[in-house]
Amino acid sequence: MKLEILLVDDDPVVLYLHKTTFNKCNFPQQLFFENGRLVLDYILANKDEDKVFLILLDINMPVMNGWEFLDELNTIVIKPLVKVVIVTSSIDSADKDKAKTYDQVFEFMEKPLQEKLICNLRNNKDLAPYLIQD
Amino acid sequence: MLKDPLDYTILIIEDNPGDLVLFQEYLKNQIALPTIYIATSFKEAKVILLDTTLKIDLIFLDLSLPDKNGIDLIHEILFLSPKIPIVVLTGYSDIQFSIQSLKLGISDYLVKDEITALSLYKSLRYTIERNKYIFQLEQSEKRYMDLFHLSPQPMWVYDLDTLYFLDVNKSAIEHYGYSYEEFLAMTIEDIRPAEDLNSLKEIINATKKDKSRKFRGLFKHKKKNGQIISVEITSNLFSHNGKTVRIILANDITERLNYVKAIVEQNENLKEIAWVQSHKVRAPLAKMMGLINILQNNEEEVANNSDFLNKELLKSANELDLIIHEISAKASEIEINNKKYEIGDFTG
Repeated sequence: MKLEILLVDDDPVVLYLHKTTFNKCNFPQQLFFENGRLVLDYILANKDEDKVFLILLDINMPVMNGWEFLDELNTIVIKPLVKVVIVTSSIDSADKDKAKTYDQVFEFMEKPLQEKLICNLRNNKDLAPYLIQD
Repeated sequence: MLKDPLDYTILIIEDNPGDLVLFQEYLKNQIALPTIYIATSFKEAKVILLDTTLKIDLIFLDLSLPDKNGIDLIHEILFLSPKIPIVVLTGYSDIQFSIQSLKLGISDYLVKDEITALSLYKSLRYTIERNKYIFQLEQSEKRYMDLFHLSPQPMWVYDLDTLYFLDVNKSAIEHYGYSYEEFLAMTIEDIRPAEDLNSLKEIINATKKDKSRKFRGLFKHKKKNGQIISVEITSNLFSHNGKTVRIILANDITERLNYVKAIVEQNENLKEIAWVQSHKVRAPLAKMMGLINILQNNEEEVANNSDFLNKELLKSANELDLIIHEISAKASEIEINNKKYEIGDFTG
């Protein structure tokens, strides 16, 4: 039983900000990816029935953007649980509506991440069992 | 017997005094109050005909006058008064000629020895009525021709079999640049761009069979100067001198379409600006907010990464500035493309 937190964004400063927020909320170590292709390859290579992947996913990225990543993910039969939080600087409601069409997406957050919202993730019923509660 | 009470003004051109008396008697016999003018020579007739205040309804004309006769006389009288109907009075020896003179524009002829009061009156009455009717027909035809020729929109008529132009109006001549004669030497294929000829043939064949007769469509036409224009065609089938022809009304909507295109392009630009606003502008702004948050609330990070935080904050501010400059450039592009249009461009 293991939770892996994957932060995906093409901007290193954003990854730094994400990391700082996650650390503030005492989440375990995170892994960083700069586009959808890299994180997809990682999941395929490291999938395990006991694992849960929590992915903080940016939409606009080179090589493979957030939507393309989700579409690809849907074509693959994948055993472990993948839980996705879309994180975007966009305030376009069309993006929010589109995010709702993906089963794996359970949250839609605007940048910058709010500490309160990230800490609240600890209470999520799918994630809580994997976390050492304070 | 009741006499005809209507006003008639009649000119008798006759040099034989006996015939003159007789004809006047006949006319007075049938008509209550006829106004009769007499001319005994062409010279006298000319004076009377040149006086347009007289309003002559009909001319009785003897074909042998002392100063002019026969075909010359007919031509001269017709020339002087093309609108007044003429009844020729003739002897037996001239019947053949009188029959031929009908072709010249004479309305009727009467053989002198057979004239009675009734036959003279009948000829007069019939000729005047027929002339009125012809006049009305001409007026009506003229009104319809005016509608065609004076229409502010280009119109033409073409032969459905040969595709030749049969008639074009003034507006078509002005708009397409061809003269009337040039138009009549061309077919409707000559005002089409070459690539449209096949589809034109299909449409012509389809509309030939179409019993509804009416047709509407959007086409490309080519002016004499080579310019291609977009036209909205409205047309209808009708019969013209025994041929089936099509009458066309062409409405040039090139400007209108250009305007719509300009609006579509502008909308694209505006959409792009809106997209940039919501996607790109917020990216560096969100980073700045995140970095400021750390500077204010995270002592550990400030202690360890102060330089990094300050450097990235400035970088994000510069990114934001660059994007705002890009948007402003895009917006001025719209200004440049913004051609001025008058309201009249879209109603014509």
